[in-house]
Amino acid sequence: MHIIIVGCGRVGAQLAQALSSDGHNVVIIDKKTESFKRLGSDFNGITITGVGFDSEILKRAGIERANALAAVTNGDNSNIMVSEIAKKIYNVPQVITRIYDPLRADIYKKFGLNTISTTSIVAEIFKSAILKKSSKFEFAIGDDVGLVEYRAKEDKGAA
Amino acid sequence: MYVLIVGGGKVGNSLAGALSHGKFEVALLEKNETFARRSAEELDNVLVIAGDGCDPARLEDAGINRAQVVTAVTGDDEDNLIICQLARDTFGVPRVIARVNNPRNEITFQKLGIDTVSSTTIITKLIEEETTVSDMFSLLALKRGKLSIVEASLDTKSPVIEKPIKDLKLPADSILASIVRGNQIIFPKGDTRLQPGDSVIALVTIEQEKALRETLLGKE
Repeated sequence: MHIIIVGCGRVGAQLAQALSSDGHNVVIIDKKTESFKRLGSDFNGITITGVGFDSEILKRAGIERANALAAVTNGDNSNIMVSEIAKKIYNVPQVITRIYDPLRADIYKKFGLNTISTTSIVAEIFKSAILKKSSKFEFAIGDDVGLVEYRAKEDKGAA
Repeated sequence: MYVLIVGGGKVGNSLAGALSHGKFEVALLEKNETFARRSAEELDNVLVIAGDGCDPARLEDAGINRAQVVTAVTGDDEDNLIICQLARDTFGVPRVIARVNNPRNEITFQKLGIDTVSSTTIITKLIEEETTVSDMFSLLALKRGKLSIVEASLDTKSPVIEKPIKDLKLPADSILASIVRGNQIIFPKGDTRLQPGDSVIALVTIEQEKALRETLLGKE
C-alpha cells in the first residue's frame, strides 16, 4: 500500500516505522526536518518537509495514488484539514484522523471523518487500570472497526 | 443583522470596528485573552469574547445560533476552515466567509465549499487589471466563483461596434447589465448600439467568460 503519514511526532514516527518494515510504501510529512530524526536510520520510506495541508506537498507525497492517509500532527485543526483534503478532494480510500479534543472528534465523526480521540482512549485505559476493572473497555475506530480489551479476573478458582 | 467575527488580530479588529458603526450587531471572538482585552478596550459597540473559535461551546457563547454571518479571519488557515465548517454545518449559519492567509490554500477551501477572501489574490487581481487595456476583467465572483460580473472596455477594433444589441450572438449564459459611456450609465435595450470607449458590464458564467470575451472584443 502507498501510505501517507502527516506528522512525525512519536506516534507518526512509530507508525511510519511499523508500516515501512511491514513492506508498505510510506511517505511521511512534517513541518520540521529535525522531526525525522525520530525515524531512525533503518527507515526506508520517503520524508517531505512541509505543511501537511498544503495541496502541493500532498501531491509530492503521491496523494493521487495513496491507499491510506493518517493525520497525526499535534494540531487537531491541521489534522482535520489534511483529512478533508485527502478524503473529499483526492478520494483517498482510507483516511484516519487523530483528534485530541473528544468533542471535536465527535463532531467530525458526524461529518464523515474517521476520527480517533486519543484523549478518550487514554482516559479510559487509565480508568480501567486504576479501578483494576475486570470488565472490558472499548472504543470504535470509524464505523466498522473497534478495539475491545478484556482483563482476565485474578480469581484463582476460575478456569 | 448579527455578525460574528472570529480572530481579533489586525484584520478582525478593523473589520469589527468598520461594521459596528452600521446596521450590524457585531461580536468578536479571540483566543488570546490579552488580545481580547485589548480589542474590548478599543472597540465600542462590539461584544468581545475571549475563547477558541474552534470550540463549539465558545461559538455558542458568542451567539453563533443567531448569527447571519460568520467570518473567520485568524492567521491560521486550518483554524479558519474549521470555524467556517462548524458555523455552516453544525450551526447552520447562512453566510460564512474565510480569510485565506496562504493563497495556495484558496483552492482547497473552494473545493470544500467555503467562500474565501485572500488579500494576496485581491492585490494580484488589482495589479493585473491596472495593466490590461481594451480587455475584459472580472469585477466580482459570485456563487463561489461560478458566476462573475465582468467589465469589458471596447475599442474601435471590437466586432460589436455600431451593432444593435439584439443582433449580437452573445453566449447563452450571459447578459449585458449596463454600459458605461463617459459619465452616462445606459441600461441596454435591444436597439442600443455599442460604441468605441464603452465599458460593458455583463453577468456571465465562468464557463462562458471566454466566449463572451470573444464576442465583445474579438479573438486575440
